[in-house]
Amino acid sequence: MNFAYSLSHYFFPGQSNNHKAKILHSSSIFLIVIFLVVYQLILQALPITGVKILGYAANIPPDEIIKLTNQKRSESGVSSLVYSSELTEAARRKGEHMLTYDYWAHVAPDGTEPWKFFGDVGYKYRFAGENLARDFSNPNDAIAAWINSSSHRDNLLSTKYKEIGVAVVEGDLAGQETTLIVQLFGTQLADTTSNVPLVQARPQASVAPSPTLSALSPTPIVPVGALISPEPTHTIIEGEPFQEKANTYKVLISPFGSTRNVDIATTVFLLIVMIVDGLIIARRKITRVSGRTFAHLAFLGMILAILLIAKAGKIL
Amino acid sequence: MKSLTHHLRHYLPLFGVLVAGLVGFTLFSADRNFQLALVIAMAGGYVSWGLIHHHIHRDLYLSVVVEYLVFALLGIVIAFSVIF
Repeated sequence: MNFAYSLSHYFFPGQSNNHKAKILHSSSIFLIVIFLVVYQLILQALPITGVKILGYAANIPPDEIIKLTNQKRSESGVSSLVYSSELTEAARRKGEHMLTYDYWAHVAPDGTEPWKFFGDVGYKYRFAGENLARDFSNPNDAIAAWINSSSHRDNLLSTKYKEIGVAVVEGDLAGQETTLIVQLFGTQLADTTSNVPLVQARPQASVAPSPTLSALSPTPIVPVGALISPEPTHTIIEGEPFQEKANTYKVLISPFGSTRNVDIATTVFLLIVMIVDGLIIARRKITRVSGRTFAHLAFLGMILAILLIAKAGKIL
Repeated sequence: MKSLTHHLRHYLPLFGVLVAGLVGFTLFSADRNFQLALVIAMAGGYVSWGLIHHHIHRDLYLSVVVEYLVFALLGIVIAFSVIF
């Protein structure tokens, strides 16, 4: 009896709740807001407390990234990039470096720039560029995100570059298991066939890492703060063989996924209660002091649409 | 339904704001700060619409204002959690 009363009180309009489902009252909505904020804080705090949580890890074949990149270049009338084992190794080292020193940026907290990794593998470049992505569950979404960003699209479709190397590195970043995609572009210093005037080129002065490399950077880099983790753990996903991995994207649970599921459940639940509440009130022809149910439905419907189209990945 | 038809001209601006925001959210998927700004703008438009609508219908009370504000806050918190 008490359960039935509570059910009616919280989810259906009646005299006990002033003819409005209690869950739709401002106080209840505010409590839901607090619950969602606390839930987010707990998710964010777990890695800080030392508890490891499963992040957004996915098996993404590097060759697929290269294939899709060349596909986008072809669609734009730009020549395809040639696979470079040196750039691939440089990309792998950059990915490892980010995991080892626990940062997510073009420039490491210690000032290490992307161009150092080109030099480390002996790649003397005339032009060089770097695109980064993380937390994507498949190659198509990562490429789409880069294409939708003007600076990354410029890199991806640039006629300056002749070669490409991609590494997908999986490991622990700031307490979360994640997948990093490092995409490096380059044109060898010896390559003089570039259609860009030489005056724009900024060749690397030395193969060896040098503190003066920053002055030679071909593209401006914005440093991003990062945490230092003394005990990083990571696994490298090799690019080969692509054929074996192409159709085996393995997505684990992620903070983004769990957040989105909780948000969608909350929103759908409120929408259902609101629709039922609105129908009952309309049927009973009850006039009440309240916001417009239809306006709330439209707004929450829009929020639900945002939840459905939101994507997890980030690019840099 | 009759009420909805009656208020259609009032609801159209709200739908316009929400749909425009949703389209912008999709188009600017690479710019997360802009996406959040869009959601906040949509929430602001939704609250403003509520204030104007209830003022016109002479049933604007503090409890109604608070109701629109908490729903807007809910929307912003949800959007923020999936954007960042």
